[in-house]
Amino acid sequence: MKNFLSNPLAIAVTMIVCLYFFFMRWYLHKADSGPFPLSWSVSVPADDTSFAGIFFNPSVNDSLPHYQYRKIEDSLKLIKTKKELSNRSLATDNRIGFIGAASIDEDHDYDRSKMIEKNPLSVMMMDSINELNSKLVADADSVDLLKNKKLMGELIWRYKVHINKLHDSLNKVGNRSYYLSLSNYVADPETYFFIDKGTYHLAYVVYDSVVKRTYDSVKLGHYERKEINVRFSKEENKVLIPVKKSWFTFLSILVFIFQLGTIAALAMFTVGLPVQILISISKGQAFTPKNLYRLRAIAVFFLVYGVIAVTAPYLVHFIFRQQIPHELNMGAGILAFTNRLIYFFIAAIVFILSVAFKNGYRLQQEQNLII
Amino acid sequence: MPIVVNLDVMLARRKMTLKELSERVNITIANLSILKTSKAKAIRFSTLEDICRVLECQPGDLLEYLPNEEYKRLMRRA
Repeated sequence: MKNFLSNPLAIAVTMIVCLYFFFMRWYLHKADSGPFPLSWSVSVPADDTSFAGIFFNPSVNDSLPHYQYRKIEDSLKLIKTKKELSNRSLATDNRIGFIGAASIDEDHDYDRSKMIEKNPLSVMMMDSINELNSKLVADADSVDLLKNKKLMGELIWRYKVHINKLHDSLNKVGNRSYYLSLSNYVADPETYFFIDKGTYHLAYVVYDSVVKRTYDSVKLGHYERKEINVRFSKEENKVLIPVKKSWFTFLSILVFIFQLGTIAALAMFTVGLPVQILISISKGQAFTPKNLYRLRAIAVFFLVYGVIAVTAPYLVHFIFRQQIPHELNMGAGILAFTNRLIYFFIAAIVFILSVAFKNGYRLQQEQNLII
Repeated sequence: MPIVVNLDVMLARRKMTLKELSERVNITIANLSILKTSKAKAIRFSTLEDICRVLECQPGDLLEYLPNEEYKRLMRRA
């Protein structure tokens, strides 16, 4: 016990970390303030035209015959699905960390005749694959295994060709829009993004009053809409800022360069330099100026990486703050910082190691001067 | 450091070169050179014993204490 208590600094660091742990537990699980639990009730527009129909949810008459009921229900589901698809913002994204260059294919029309018009070759390929597949299924009971294998092989080959052609055609034709994508943005669960007549909008809740009841309170509100300059992907927690195609190309190249640079730097500072240090230690040359330099370089790299990882999203948000509506928040800031703490921790450990090596080098020099 | 090593004086008296001394006491020429120029931080008793045995002298013949000012003057001259 006495030996344990003779490490006051270590005990102090442990207590700070434990306090931080308790703080994070409290922060993540804190409940709404007030003595009563709070629920909310938001009135939703009844018609299907306001808010571009995102709240469109008509009910079907129960008294109709089953087949009619199902037919109407399926039609309503299709309408709702089409509306949801038109508001979706799933992008093809090339990014580094939280920032990237994204593009979205705006053609949500899955009408077959329009598909043939745009991609005749891919539709033809798809038809031939389907024909081949049905032949394979039809011949499944036959004993002619060799013929089935040949058909299977041809099916797979045609499928691969079709996929490659489809990728080429998607990149060449079609109505694509281009964006600068910023990740880790969240909105309230009650906030919705929608596109109305080619412009971007947010539907958000405005609370009008609070009604206190015996055992709880209820917040009453309604939806309002506002036009915004950016697109929001709730599925991927991304804000997409529209850019021109030339900017998109430039951003894509920049992202690629940064990706390559980051991979190279990580390889150098997490594998290359440590291996170099270990090799020199194995040769009996542990405390050398070169190893000191390498350790300091690793510590500085992780410190800079951590600082950039924490501050860059806020810096970019500051640059684009005029365009990003305040309803879209940058995730849980303190959680983002906690996730990045590991880099600072590694930097501190490696820096302490470099100080130890520095003292080791000094002692070695003194030892060399003892004859 | 105000302790001066008079190794070159003793080598001259015994008419011995540094190389010969190095071979006889089994210390490298580089280390003897460090000793000779008073750049060494410390000397082991075993090393002192070997040098005194080969040069047939006392430790006091090899090691001399100079006050700081005299030492600095000597180093400047060197």
